[in-house]
Amino acid sequence: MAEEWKQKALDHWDLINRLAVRRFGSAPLAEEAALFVMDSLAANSWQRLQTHDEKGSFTSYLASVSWRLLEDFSRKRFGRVRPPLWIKKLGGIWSLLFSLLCLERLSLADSVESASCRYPVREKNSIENDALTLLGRIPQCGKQQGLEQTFDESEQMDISSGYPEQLVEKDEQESLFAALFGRVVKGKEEGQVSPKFSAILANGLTLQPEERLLLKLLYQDDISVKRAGGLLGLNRDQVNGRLRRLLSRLRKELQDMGLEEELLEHLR
Amino acid sequence: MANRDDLKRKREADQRTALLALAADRQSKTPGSCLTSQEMSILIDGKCESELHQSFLTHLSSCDSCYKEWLELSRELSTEENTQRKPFLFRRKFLTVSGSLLAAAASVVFYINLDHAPGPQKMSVPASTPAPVQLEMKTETVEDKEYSIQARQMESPPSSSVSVKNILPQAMEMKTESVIRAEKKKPIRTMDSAAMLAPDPRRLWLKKLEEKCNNPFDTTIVSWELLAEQGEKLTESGQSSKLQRIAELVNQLAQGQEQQHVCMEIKRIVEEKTSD
Repeated sequence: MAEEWKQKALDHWDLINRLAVRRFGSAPLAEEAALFVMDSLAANSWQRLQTHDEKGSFTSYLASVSWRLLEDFSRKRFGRVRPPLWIKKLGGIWSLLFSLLCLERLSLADSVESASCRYPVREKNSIENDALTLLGRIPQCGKQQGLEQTFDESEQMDISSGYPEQLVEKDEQESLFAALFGRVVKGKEEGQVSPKFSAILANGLTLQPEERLLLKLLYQDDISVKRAGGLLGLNRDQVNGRLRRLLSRLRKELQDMGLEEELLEHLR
Repeated sequence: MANRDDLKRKREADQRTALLALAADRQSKTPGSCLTSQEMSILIDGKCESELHQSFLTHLSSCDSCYKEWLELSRELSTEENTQRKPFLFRRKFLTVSGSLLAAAASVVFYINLDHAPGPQKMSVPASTPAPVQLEMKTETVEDKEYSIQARQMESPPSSSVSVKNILPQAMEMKTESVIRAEKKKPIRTMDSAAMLAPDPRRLWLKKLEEKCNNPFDTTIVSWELLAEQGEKLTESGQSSKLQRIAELVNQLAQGQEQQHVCMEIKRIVEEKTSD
């Protein structure tokens, strides 16, 4: 029986390798991570695989288990350094750059190269500017030594649950402002944030779960409209329609909340 | 260019709006617990019911780690699916389209071939051009056999002479135009063919002259006097100085000159032409 599961896992060795490359980018680290995944799968006579209940395909199940083991490997290797709230809020390429620069401690050039492979739509200059903004706003980036931690599944599963987190800290708001408007709003002193902008971030606005997911897919992760529709169970026209209505509603809300005309100009 | 810049600016403005909204979002507590690997696999495979699917999506919208896992695995597995899929050309849906396209292409090729089929390009050269004279001069000194081979070659269509450059623009023309053009060409081709196939008087004269030189005492062959007379007629147009020289020599023979010597001179002149 164990031989059968072993054979199944070996049949998916390519998939595990590709996931490792997708997660870590650099080949030597990915190879090490893939071996870690295989060793972890083999533990207790391939017990992790034996719990597959046939509802979903074995391939997608194995991919999910492997992805979680890759996260475990990352924590063991680099420790758990939580990103600042403004990075977490921006998500997408900002989270990736934070991982590459501050967690894996890659050089600026290597981080930009790796990020541009994963976000091919973005221009390299733009990615480099984002990376420089991040380094400028997080001076201690990469200086913390990651502490090895043991894998705790229950902790991992509940990692994002918690109470609402709003950007109330002044420096967090400044960092977010620099990330969003730093390149387009000229003449403002470094770190100066308008009171209305601060108020909007502190008080917040409301997004429905589906709206949030749509914005994340399209604008944080650069997924195409067609692909995003496929993931959400919508067709392209439905996605375009919902997106148009959502963006115009958000602009109106921001205007009603008193956001300065100067900033609104860059949102239209 | 301006349009592309506008689109880029619009995309950046939309992105800024979306990111600001996500940053300011009053996110409620993440609903439900994180997805297990079983649940994640049925979500990615699209095997869960609509209600369950919606509840999973609601959780993903607030849980960064589950969202990231779902996104990356969907990307990876869709890539794998795409690579395992049949090539585009062999998909069932494409077969009807590809069949129609191939039929259309075959029709175009057939039409072009029809347009160029009637005869060689050389056949359409007007009879007044010096080409036939040049051809004739080349065949003057060779045997009849060679001449007939050349004549056959001229009759057969020179397939390589029709270049793609000539074919493509013609293929683009309307059919009516090509039909009219073909009709105009037809009589020219017929006349030319006849002219090419008809025996050339100068060549015949030279042939008779050669026969007479080889068998000077054969009375069944035309006399020197008659050959001299024909030579005078042929050289009236004054096209070839060499032919005139031969005609003069034949005239000398008709007047009783020593045959062997003059015939050798004639042959020499003919050979000169061959080397030309």
